[in-house]
Amino acid sequence: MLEWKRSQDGLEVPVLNGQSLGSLRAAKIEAEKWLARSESQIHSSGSIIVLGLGCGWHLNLLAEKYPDRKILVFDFFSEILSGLKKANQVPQGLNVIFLSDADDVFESARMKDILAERPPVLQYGPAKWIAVQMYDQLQMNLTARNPRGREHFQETQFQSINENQAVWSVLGELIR
Amino acid sequence: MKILVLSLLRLGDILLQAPALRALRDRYPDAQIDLLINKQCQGVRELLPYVDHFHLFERDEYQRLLTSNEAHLYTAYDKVECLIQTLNQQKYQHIYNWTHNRLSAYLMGALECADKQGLQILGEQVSVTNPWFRYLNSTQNNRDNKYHYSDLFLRSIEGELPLLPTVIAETPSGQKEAAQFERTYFRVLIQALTGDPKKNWGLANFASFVRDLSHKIPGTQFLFLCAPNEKAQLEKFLDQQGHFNNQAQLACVTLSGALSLLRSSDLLVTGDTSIKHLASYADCRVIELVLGSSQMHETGVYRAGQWMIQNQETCSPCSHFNKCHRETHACAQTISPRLVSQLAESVYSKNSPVLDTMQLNRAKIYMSRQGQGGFWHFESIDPSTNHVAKGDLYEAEKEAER
Repeated sequence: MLEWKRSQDGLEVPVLNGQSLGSLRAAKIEAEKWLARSESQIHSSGSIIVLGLGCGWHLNLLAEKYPDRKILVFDFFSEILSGLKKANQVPQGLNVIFLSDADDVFESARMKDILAERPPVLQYGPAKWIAVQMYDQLQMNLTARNPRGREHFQETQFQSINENQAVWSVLGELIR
Repeated sequence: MKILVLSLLRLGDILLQAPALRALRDRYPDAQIDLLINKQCQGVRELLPYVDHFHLFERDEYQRLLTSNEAHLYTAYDKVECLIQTLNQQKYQHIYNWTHNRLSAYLMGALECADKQGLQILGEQVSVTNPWFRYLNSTQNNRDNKYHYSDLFLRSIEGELPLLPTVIAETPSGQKEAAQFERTYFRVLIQALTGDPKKNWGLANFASFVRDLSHKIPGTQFLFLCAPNEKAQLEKFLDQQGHFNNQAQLACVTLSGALSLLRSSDLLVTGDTSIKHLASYADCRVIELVLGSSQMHETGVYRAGQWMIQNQETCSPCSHFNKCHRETHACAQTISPRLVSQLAESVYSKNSPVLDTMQLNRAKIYMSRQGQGGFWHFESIDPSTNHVAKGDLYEAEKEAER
């Protein structure tokens, strides 16, 4: 069941099945802190993938800070978006893809092209607690950090991997 | 001709290899000589103007990308592959691996070159192509190596020992930094803190040393060198000591600034690796405190005529990779401030040191030498006579002569 509560700093915060998807005390500061923490992960890639709509404010801040980047949001709960739009808490023209399962991402033909440029895949912490395992699995699928993700996206993007085992050997030495 | 050298350890190691790099340049004056170093060591670039191009290995960034869940796993792969492609596009005729570890060996395996010298792993195949690196490889884990690393690198390229002041170049910006510290009298530089805590002598010992030497040589000027991350700790220390009656100052300078300060100072006292190697090329006398994992015979001060004080703890030298297992930092305690100030006084007076033999029971003093065979070695002071005598590892030179 979806409810809406107003945070002390004036944002509409979705509460789904009793789980708040943002701070009810300081949702804006929470979003600012998230962006500050995430910035070290954002490199020159043209796209930024965010997992979790939350209360949307983090997406506004991200779009404002990186106006030239394409922001792509994944979430499992489509009912939130209309409320966020109504409250004017998400950027205009935001790309949102709703999935019913973390493995649904393998069905999208576009994803291979998007992932080819290795975008950062940022989780919005306050939103993930409603379905921790699903968000974590989705992140691993998108960052090739599980066998399924590697296998699926390898056929078009990673053709050269087997040709240069030495690169993996070098990287292996960095985490020994 | 194009030559690439892999030097993927720390700053001190690059400085240790600098004589061989200079010799490489002297041997091939028209060649393009490039160096692959870790990005965090890039401050060394301006000191080595005879290197044509520096390639940077972004070790920290690759590690971050590998371990961060938010980064695509293959981002690190792409970056290392891109680096390898960039290097291969250069079509080097000779590549030397002066790093001698598994990471650099795998990298060597991925590089395309007809003449690769040093450790290489290609698939399952491990090979070491240069006799000097084969020697190093055979001795690395059993501490049998009798050669100073600088000699070993020099021999690996069949190079001649260069004039040491030409190994590292002073820069205008470094000179400007050093000019802020007016030399008033006998000037002693102290690098009190090191990146490896096991090599720290301890600020209390340095304080006793400064007081003792000030008493012996009134008016001595002390400069405490430091990196930006050490500044607050040393500022507090000097404040607590009242700046030793205004005889001590903090010198937070760059590597270039430190080099220029060394060139205009009388003595350096330190347990730190990088600064002692820098001093080797700056004509500044050195008292090296051999502590922790320091292997004096492999990495001692390369210039002849420098003092090295070796602690006599049974656990010394310890492993570079492990923390000190003792309840107290025992090896630092065996070197007394009084002994160090007695040696420092001899640098000032230009006479043989008058040493307290009681102090020598716990620490041994050596002097670096350049032998006739061109090999570095060291000689020990005989505590009963205070005379220089041939030391334990003098065989290195004899072996070279044979």
